[in-house]
Amino acid sequence: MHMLRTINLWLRIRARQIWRILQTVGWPLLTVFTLVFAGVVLMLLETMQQLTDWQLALLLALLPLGIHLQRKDQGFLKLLHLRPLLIYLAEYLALVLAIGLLLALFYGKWLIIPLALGLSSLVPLLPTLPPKIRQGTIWQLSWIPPMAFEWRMGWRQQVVPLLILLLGCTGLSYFTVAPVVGFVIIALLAASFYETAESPELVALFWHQPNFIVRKWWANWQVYLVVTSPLSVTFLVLHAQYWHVYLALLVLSAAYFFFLVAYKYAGYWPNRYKVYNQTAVGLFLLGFFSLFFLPVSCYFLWRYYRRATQQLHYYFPK
Amino acid sequence: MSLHIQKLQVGYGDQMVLQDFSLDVPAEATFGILGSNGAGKTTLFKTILGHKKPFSGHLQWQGATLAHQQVAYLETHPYFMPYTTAREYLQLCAHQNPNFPIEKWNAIFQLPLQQFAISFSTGMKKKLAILGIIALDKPILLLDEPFNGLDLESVERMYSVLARLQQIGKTILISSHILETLTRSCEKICFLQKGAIQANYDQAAFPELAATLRQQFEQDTESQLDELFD
Repeated sequence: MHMLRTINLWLRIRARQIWRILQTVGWPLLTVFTLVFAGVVLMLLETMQQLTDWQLALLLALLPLGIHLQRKDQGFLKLLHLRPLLIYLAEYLALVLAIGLLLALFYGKWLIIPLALGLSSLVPLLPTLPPKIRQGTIWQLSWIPPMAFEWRMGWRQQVVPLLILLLGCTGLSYFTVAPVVGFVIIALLAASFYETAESPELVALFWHQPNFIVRKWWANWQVYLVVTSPLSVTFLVLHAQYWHVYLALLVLSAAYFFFLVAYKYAGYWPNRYKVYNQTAVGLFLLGFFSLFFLPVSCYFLWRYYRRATQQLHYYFPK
Repeated sequence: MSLHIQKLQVGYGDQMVLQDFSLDVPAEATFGILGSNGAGKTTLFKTILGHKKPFSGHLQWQGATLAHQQVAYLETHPYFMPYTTAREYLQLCAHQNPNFPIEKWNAIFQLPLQQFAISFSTGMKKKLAILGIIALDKPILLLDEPFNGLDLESVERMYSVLARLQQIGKTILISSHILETLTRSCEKICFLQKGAIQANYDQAAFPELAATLRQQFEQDTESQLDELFD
């Protein structure tokens, strides 16, 4: 009974959290999102109609899996004497049940609910992929310019997944999709590098340079291109006929890193050390998957660039 | 009856932080752990809390193996979830203690509970985390640098809160690198250096501890400054 009460409290707080995050997007934008999102979902539902019950259940279970791998709150939950396993289980089941019910209603396939719930209940048992601070030798990484120090930090934290991705996707680059997947996942992984804000002294060090945000973006994007260069080479050598895909990846990654840099400084204030960008990144990326959202992504780029410049001017007047 | 720590060996990889660490903390006492940065204070607390597994050694409470559910821990830099209010945080902390009077306790520190905890200043975050620790209602409280970031008034209030918590039977371990905060709030202070206990001091010996430290650090600093300025 006590545990149920706690889980109920946790789920209510999480629901409020999501609601508040959505509110920060702004109501006009949110209305547009909802309408467009509904259209995209309907299109997806049509496509997914051919899937079997098991495939649908598996797709549903991927939702909590995506959340789970990125979780960093085990320590926090333990400090509060909450059991992470139970909390995660409750969250994932609630999420899968809500979406599963909608899918079941739409397709009339009720079997997907128990199947998806069963699969999702295994997700909390899996390990998460929190960044680990390594002890011992510190890689100097002097090839990364100081302005892109986020990559130094990120490389040290995520060296294992980064290397696995690079080696794996380069090794499998005979298949066209492998390098593309490598490009995308490394970029997605890099979003977490921009969640840590630097001290005001470090900002002031570079801020005096003209076009700080643009220079910063350029430095960071360059590092991304260097890191993914094995993928670029194999892709262009083995699949030269898809050069336009590579070109698209370049343009999209440039926009993406510009967004990451701008968003980081749009909410910057001295001594703020954490910038939570996952939701904003998620919304921004929708524009890459659907043309409907493209204007929103463009608006985000402009808006956060402007806000970042204003914010930095306020705290570091030139 | 006490918190009994025996021959604790704790480290990270091949780097040992606590070596043969033994300590007896009497129940219902306020005990200070003094040490410079990197002395092993936080590692000790994380081991007591169960977040760090020792290589060897025993931890006992009231004669039985310490259950980590008996411990509440205040971090040096407490974490708060984004987009959650301070009140929601306290409600979560009080999940095992539903009758915890949030408003009455908050009267002491007067925090704006309807605001997002993440937007609080360092001192306000610390005060909120302290209220959270109290709401958890555990017999052992580990407070890592509880006075950091607090303003003058809050520091005074904190001393009173600690004294009252001790009176109602809590065993409190406070880590700090500021001697004054410990001499004001603790009955005994353990001086930690490089993962080992240098000495334990009771209240009568606090002036001696202060003098020893002052002498040691002043000598070190003066000789280094001499080298720089000569």
